[in-house]
Amino acid sequence: MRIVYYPGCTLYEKAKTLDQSARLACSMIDIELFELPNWTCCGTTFPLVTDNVMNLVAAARILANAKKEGDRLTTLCAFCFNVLKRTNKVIKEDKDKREKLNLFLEEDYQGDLEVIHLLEILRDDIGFENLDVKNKIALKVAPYYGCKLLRPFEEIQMDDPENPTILEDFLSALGCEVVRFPHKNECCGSYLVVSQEKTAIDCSFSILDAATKCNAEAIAVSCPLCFYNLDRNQEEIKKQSFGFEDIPVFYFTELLGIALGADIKLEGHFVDPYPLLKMKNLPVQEVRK
Amino acid sequence: MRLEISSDRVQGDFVKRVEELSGQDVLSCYQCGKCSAGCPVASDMDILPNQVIRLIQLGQEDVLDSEAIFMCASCFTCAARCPKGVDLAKIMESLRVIVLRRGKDIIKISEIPQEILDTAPQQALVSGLRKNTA
Repeated sequence: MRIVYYPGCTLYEKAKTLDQSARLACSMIDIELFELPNWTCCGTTFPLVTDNVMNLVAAARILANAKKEGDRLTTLCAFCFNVLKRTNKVIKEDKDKREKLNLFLEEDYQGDLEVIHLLEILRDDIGFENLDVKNKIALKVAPYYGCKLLRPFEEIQMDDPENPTILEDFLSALGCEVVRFPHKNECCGSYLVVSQEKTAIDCSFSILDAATKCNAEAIAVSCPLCFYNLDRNQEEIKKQSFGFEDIPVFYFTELLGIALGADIKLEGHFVDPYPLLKMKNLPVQEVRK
Repeated sequence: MRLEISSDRVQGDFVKRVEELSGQDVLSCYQCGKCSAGCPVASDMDILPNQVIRLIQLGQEDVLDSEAIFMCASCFTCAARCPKGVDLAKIMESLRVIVLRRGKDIIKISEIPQEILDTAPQQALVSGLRKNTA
């Protein structure tokens, strides 16, 4: 199955492991990720005021170009997914903005592309139950969704915004023991890490604390910023909170790759994930920092 | 805090401007407080999310000086839970936009710690600057 793939800036730089593990895993389950040629940044945040058409331009250009390559566009970063899916809906439903954007970009794009997340392809096209799991991921994993993958539901429509289950179903299929914890759709602090670092660390702490209290051994995420906040902030949390213990954070594609038997390299992790994987005898190639 | 409440203010341009920018009916909020209850950063805000919307209803432009509007991370939890269907994330953004369009920067790149510039994902830097700089 061929599908147009938009990696986005972060996956080419700070979250290479998300991109590479997804490509490896997809090659093993007959999903051909065709990288969109000449892609640019999507803008990262969907403009929330009615008169801001300028911030839709980058996403609109990506969508118009993707339509020339296929009918469906997939992406992995929750921010890119959120921006592209919402912009696509604006182009489809708002005649004024559609005309303005098309005039500006010299395109004739009508919003008829389907923007889907890789998790949705795995659920709806492949079926979690059809994944050929060679290495059972026998870990207690807390699924963490964050905000951008779920909300606003009227526009994203991937899963229930208050009680999603797509990650749980996915992790169960890989053989994980899914840890249900109350903070799975709380915000990790997002980009506040740039402007209000303390607040972002507090947000991450409440999520990590809830996960460890529910006996999770690891956390699974899809968004590179959730990954950064939950993984990187642990060092600071350890200084502030006596008794806090490290908990490795994984991208869902890393766990998928390991389960399928792909040769996954775990790069860019702040908390070393190897001791846990070794303890559980999971085959991974260790990368030295 | 001392508030001057008058029908001129309540029916003034500020409320209309926020409604126009956000596309939301500000007056339909009946102050149940669910937005504040669910907000992950409310504890660090100077005024609570429901107070932000209440001040707008009363036409109080001082709300633009609150830190709360720049603490909001647009996680949309408030919007998902509002029983009246008010998208407070859009209202918060319209307040930010009014401030930023006056040419004010809330953060300076030179003040972001080097370690964060080196390690943070691009999406965090681009979003942080889009939300906090003119």
